[in-house]
Amino acid sequence: MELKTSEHGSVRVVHLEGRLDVHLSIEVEQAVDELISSGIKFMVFDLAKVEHLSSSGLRIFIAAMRRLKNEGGMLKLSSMSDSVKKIFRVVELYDLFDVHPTTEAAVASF
Amino acid sequence: MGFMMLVSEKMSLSVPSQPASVASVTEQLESFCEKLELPDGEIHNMMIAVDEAVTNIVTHAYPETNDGIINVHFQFHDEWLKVELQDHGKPFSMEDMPTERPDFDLEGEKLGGFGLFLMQHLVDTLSFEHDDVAKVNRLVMKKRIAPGKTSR
Repeated sequence: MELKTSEHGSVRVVHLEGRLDVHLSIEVEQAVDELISSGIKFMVFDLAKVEHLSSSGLRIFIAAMRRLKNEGGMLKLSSMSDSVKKIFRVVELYDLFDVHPTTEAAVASF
Repeated sequence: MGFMMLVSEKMSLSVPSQPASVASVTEQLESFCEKLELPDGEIHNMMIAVDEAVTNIVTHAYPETNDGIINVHFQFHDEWLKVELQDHGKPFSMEDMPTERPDFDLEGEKLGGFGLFLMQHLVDTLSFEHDDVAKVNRLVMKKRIAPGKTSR
Protein backbone atom coordinates (compact mmCIF):
# COMPACT_ATOMS: atom_id res chain seq x y z
CA MET A 1 0.00 0.00 0.00
CA GLU A 2 1.25 3.45 -0.90
CA LEU A 3 0.88 6.00 1.88
CA LYS A 4 0.56 9.71 1.22
CA THR A 5 3.49 11.38 2.92
CA SER A 6 5.28 14.70 2.86
CA GLU A 7 8.79 15.55 4.04
CA HIS A 8 9.58 18.41 6.36
CA GLY A 9 13.30 18.25 7.03
CA SER A 10 13.87 15.14 9.10
CA VAL A 11 10.16 14.82 9.89
CA ARG A 12 7.94 12.66 7.72
CA VAL A 13 4.25 13.48 7.79
CA VAL A 14 1.94 10.58 6.98
CA HIS A 15 -1.45 11.78 5.73
CA LEU A 16 -3.87 9.06 6.79
CA GLU A 17 -7.36 9.11 5.38
CA GLY A 18 -10.68 7.35 5.15
CA ARG A 19 -11.55 4.40 7.32
CA LEU A 20 -9.03 2.92 9.74
CA ASP A 21 -10.87 -0.30 10.53
CA VAL A 22 -9.93 -3.98 10.38
CA HIS A 23 -10.08 -4.06 6.58
CA LEU A 24 -7.31 -1.56 5.90
CA SER A 25 -5.45 -1.07 9.15
CA ILE A 26 -3.14 -4.07 8.71
CA GLU A 27 -1.94 -2.75 5.36
CA VAL A 28 -1.50 0.74 6.75
CA GLU A 29 0.42 -0.64 9.72
CA GLN A 30 2.74 -2.57 7.42
CA ALA A 31 3.32 0.46 5.21
CA VAL A 32 4.16 2.58 8.25
CA ASP A 33 6.51 -0.13 9.46
CA GLU A 34 8.32 -0.05 6.12
CA LEU A 35 8.76 3.70 6.40
CA ILE A 36 10.31 3.30 9.83
CA SER A 37 12.54 0.49 8.54
CA SER A 38 13.79 2.91 5.85
CA GLY A 39 15.30 5.04 8.61
CA ILE A 40 12.63 7.61 9.40
CA LYS A 41 12.69 8.44 13.09
CA PHE A 42 10.41 11.48 13.41
CA MET A 43 6.90 11.07 12.22
CA VAL A 44 3.59 12.94 12.34
CA PHE A 45 0.29 11.24 11.57
CA ASP A 46 -1.99 13.82 10.00
CA LEU A 47 -5.52 12.68 10.85
CA ALA A 48 -7.48 15.49 9.18
CA LYS A 49 -9.03 13.15 6.62
CA VAL A 50 -9.59 10.15 8.87
CA GLU A 51 -13.34 9.58 8.78
CA HIS A 52 -13.66 6.51 10.95
CA LEU A 53 -11.38 5.01 13.59
CA SER A 54 -11.93 1.77 15.48
CA SER A 55 -9.68 -0.29 17.75
CA SER A 56 -8.06 -1.87 14.69
CA GLY A 57 -6.94 1.59 13.68
CA LEU A 58 -5.62 2.36 17.16
CA ARG A 59 -3.13 -0.48 16.67
CA ILE A 60 -1.47 1.54 13.90
CA PHE A 61 -0.71 4.40 16.24
CA ILE A 62 0.39 2.23 19.14
CA ALA A 63 2.64 0.02 17.01
CA ALA A 64 4.25 3.04 15.32
CA MET A 65 4.77 4.86 18.60
CA ARG A 66 6.43 1.80 20.11
CA ARG A 67 8.68 1.15 17.15
CA LEU A 68 9.78 4.77 16.79
CA LYS A 69 10.47 5.02 20.53
CA ASN A 70 12.63 1.90 20.33
CA GLU A 71 14.55 3.47 17.42
CA GLY A 72 15.16 6.68 19.38
CA GLY A 73 12.50 8.58 17.48
CA MET A 74 9.06 9.97 18.13
CA LEU A 75 5.51 9.98 16.81
CA LYS A 76 3.14 12.92 17.05
CA LEU A 77 -0.49 13.22 15.94
CA SER A 78 -2.21 16.18 14.35
CA SER A 79 -5.57 17.50 13.17
CA MET A 80 -7.66 15.05 15.14
CA SER A 81 -11.42 15.41 14.58
CA ASP A 82 -13.76 15.41 17.56
CA SER A 83 -15.02 11.93 16.71
CA VAL A 84 -11.48 10.50 16.55
CA LYS A 85 -10.55 12.34 19.74
CA LYS A 86 -13.54 10.74 21.46
CA ILE A 87 -12.26 7.24 20.67
CA PHE A 88 -8.83 8.07 22.07
CA ARG A 89 -10.41 9.48 25.22
CA VAL A 90 -12.78 6.53 25.80
CA VAL A 91 -9.86 4.07 25.76
CA GLU A 92 -7.77 6.56 27.73
CA LEU A 93 -5.00 6.77 25.16
CA TYR A 94 -5.27 10.48 24.33
CA ASP A 95 -2.76 11.56 26.97
CA LEU A 96 -0.28 8.95 25.80
CA PHE A 97 0.26 10.78 22.54
CA ASP A 98 1.57 14.26 21.72
CA VAL A 99 -1.42 15.69 19.86
CA HIS A 100 -1.36 18.99 17.96
CA PRO A 101 -4.21 20.94 16.35
CA THR A 102 -2.39 21.29 13.03
CA THR A 103 0.29 19.42 11.13
CA GLU A 104 2.42 22.56 11.01
CA ALA A 105 2.34 22.80 14.80
CA ALA A 106 3.24 19.12 15.13
CA VAL A 107 6.22 19.43 12.76
CA ALA A 108 7.43 22.62 14.49
CA SER A 109 7.33 20.93 17.88
CA PHE A 110 10.16 18.49 17.06
CA MET B 1 -32.10 20.66 16.44
CA GLY B 2 -34.64 17.90 17.17
CA PHE B 3 -35.10 14.71 15.23
CA MET B 4 -38.05 13.07 13.58
CA MET B 5 -39.91 10.73 15.92
CA LEU B 6 -41.17 7.57 14.30
CA VAL B 7 -43.03 4.89 16.22
CA SER B 8 -40.78 2.22 14.81
CA GLU B 9 -38.39 1.84 11.93
CA LYS B 10 -36.52 -1.28 10.91
CA MET B 11 -33.94 -2.47 8.46
CA SER B 12 -32.19 -5.79 7.91
CA LEU B 13 -29.29 -6.95 5.82
CA SER B 14 -26.99 -9.94 5.48
CA VAL B 15 -23.28 -9.65 4.78
CA PRO B 16 -20.42 -12.12 4.37
CA SER B 17 -18.19 -12.50 7.39
CA GLN B 18 -15.25 -10.67 5.81
CA PRO B 19 -13.30 -7.54 6.76
CA ALA B 20 -14.87 -5.47 3.98
CA SER B 21 -18.29 -6.06 5.54
CA VAL B 22 -17.42 -3.86 8.50
CA ALA B 23 -17.67 -0.77 6.30
CA SER B 24 -20.85 -2.06 4.60
CA VAL B 25 -22.67 -2.52 7.89
CA THR B 26 -21.57 0.75 9.49
CA GLU B 27 -22.40 2.74 6.36
CA GLN B 28 -25.87 1.17 6.20
CA LEU B 29 -26.34 2.00 9.87
CA GLU B 30 -25.27 5.58 9.27
CA SER B 31 -27.73 5.88 6.41
CA PHE B 32 -30.54 4.35 8.52
CA CYS B 33 -29.87 6.79 11.35
CA GLU B 34 -29.51 9.83 9.11
CA LYS B 35 -32.92 9.17 7.57
CA LEU B 36 -34.33 9.25 11.08
CA GLU B 37 -32.38 12.46 11.70
CA LEU B 38 -30.74 11.05 14.80
CA PRO B 39 -27.95 13.19 16.34
CA ASP B 40 -24.51 12.75 14.78
CA GLY B 41 -22.77 12.02 18.06
CA GLU B 42 -25.16 9.18 18.91
CA ILE B 43 -24.90 7.74 15.41
CA HIS B 44 -21.12 7.78 15.65
CA ASN B 45 -21.10 6.01 19.01
CA MET B 46 -23.27 3.19 17.71
CA MET B 47 -21.25 3.00 14.47
CA ILE B 48 -18.03 2.41 16.36
CA ALA B 49 -19.69 -0.18 18.64
CA VAL B 50 -21.09 -1.97 15.59
CA ASP B 51 -17.70 -1.79 13.85
CA GLU B 52 -16.13 -3.53 16.84
CA ALA B 53 -18.89 -6.14 17.04
CA VAL B 54 -18.74 -7.01 13.33
CA THR B 55 -14.94 -7.07 13.51
CA ASN B 56 -15.15 -9.60 16.34
CA ILE B 57 -17.42 -11.86 14.33
CA VAL B 58 -15.26 -11.54 11.22
CA THR B 59 -12.13 -12.28 13.24
CA HIS B 60 -13.32 -15.08 15.49
CA ALA B 61 -16.69 -16.60 14.59
CA TYR B 62 -15.80 -18.59 11.49
CA PRO B 63 -12.19 -19.72 11.85
CA GLU B 64 -12.54 -22.65 9.47
CA THR B 65 -14.58 -21.26 6.63
CA ASN B 66 -14.69 -18.23 4.35
CA ASP B 67 -18.43 -18.34 3.69
CA GLY B 68 -19.88 -17.38 7.06
CA ILE B 69 -22.80 -14.96 7.05
CA ILE B 70 -23.72 -12.18 9.46
CA ASN B 71 -27.39 -11.17 9.71
CA VAL B 72 -27.82 -7.59 10.82
CA HIS B 73 -31.00 -5.92 12.12
CA PHE B 74 -31.41 -2.23 12.88
CA GLN B 75 -34.44 -0.93 14.73
CA PHE B 76 -35.45 2.42 16.13
CA HIS B 77 -38.43 2.26 18.49
CA ASP B 78 -39.59 4.48 21.35
CA GLU B 79 -36.30 6.40 21.59
CA TRP B 80 -34.18 3.25 21.51
CA LEU B 81 -31.76 2.46 18.69
CA LYS B 82 -31.15 -1.29 18.61
CA VAL B 83 -28.66 -3.26 16.56
CA GLU B 84 -28.77 -7.04 16.54
CA LEU B 85 -26.05 -9.17 14.94
CA GLN B 86 -26.58 -12.87 14.34
CA ASP B 87 -24.05 -15.44 13.22
CA HIS B 88 -23.81 -19.21 13.14
CA GLY B 89 -20.19 -19.42 14.12
CA LYS B 90 -18.16 -19.95 17.24
CA PRO B 91 -19.90 -18.48 20.31
CA PHE B 92 -18.51 -15.46 22.07
CA SER B 93 -18.15 -15.56 25.83
CA MET B 94 -19.41 -12.62 27.86
CA GLU B 95 -16.70 -13.51 30.37
CA ASP B 96 -14.29 -12.06 27.81
CA MET B 97 -15.97 -8.66 28.14
CA PRO B 98 -13.57 -6.41 30.04
CA THR B 99 -14.89 -4.58 33.07
CA GLU B 100 -11.97 -2.17 32.97
CA ARG B 101 -9.84 -0.59 30.29
CA PRO B 102 -7.25 -3.18 29.18
CA ASP B 103 -3.86 -2.83 30.84
CA PHE B 104 -1.50 -1.15 28.50
CA ASP B 105 1.90 0.46 28.48
CA LEU B 106 4.32 1.23 25.70
CA GLU B 107 6.90 -1.24 26.88
CA GLY B 108 4.51 -4.17 27.24
CA GLU B 109 3.57 -6.80 24.74
CA LYS B 110 -0.15 -6.11 24.82
CA LEU B 111 -1.23 -4.16 21.79
CA GLY B 112 -4.99 -4.35 21.86
CA GLY B 113 -8.08 -5.54 23.65
CA PHE B 114 -9.72 -2.17 23.25
CA GLY B 115 -12.45 -3.33 20.88
CA LEU B 116 -14.64 -5.01 23.48
CA PHE B 117 -14.03 -2.14 25.89
CA LEU B 118 -15.19 0.37 23.26
CA MET B 119 -18.30 -1.68 22.48
CA GLN B 120 -19.30 -1.76 26.08
CA HIS B 121 -18.72 1.93 26.71
CA LEU B 122 -20.35 3.40 23.63
CA VAL B 123 -23.79 1.80 24.04
CA ASP B 124 -26.28 1.71 26.90
CA THR B 125 -26.94 -2.02 26.96
CA LEU B 126 -25.17 -5.00 25.44
CA SER B 127 -26.28 -8.61 25.62
CA PHE B 128 -25.18 -11.85 24.05
CA GLU B 129 -26.88 -15.20 23.83
CA HIS B 130 -26.05 -18.47 22.14
CA ASP B 131 -29.05 -20.51 20.97
CA ASP B 132 -27.79 -24.06 21.12
CA VAL B 133 -30.82 -25.46 19.24
CA ALA B 134 -30.73 -23.07 16.30
CA LYS B 135 -26.90 -22.79 16.57
CA VAL B 136 -27.19 -19.02 16.40
CA ASN B 137 -25.28 -16.34 18.28
CA ARG B 138 -27.16 -13.09 18.94
CA LEU B 139 -25.45 -9.91 20.02
CA VAL B 140 -27.80 -7.04 20.83
CA MET B 141 -26.68 -3.46 21.45
CA LYS B 142 -29.04 -0.65 22.41
CA LYS B 143 -28.62 3.06 22.80
CA ARG B 144 -31.27 5.44 24.06
CA ILE B 145 -31.63 8.53 21.89
CA ALA B 146 -33.45 11.07 24.06
CA PRO B 147 -35.77 13.51 22.26
CA GLY B 148 -34.29 16.96 21.75
CA LYS B 149 -30.72 15.76 22.25
CA THR B 150 -28.40 17.87 20.15
CA SER B 151 -25.58 16.53 18.02
CA ARG B 152 -22.12 16.36 19.59
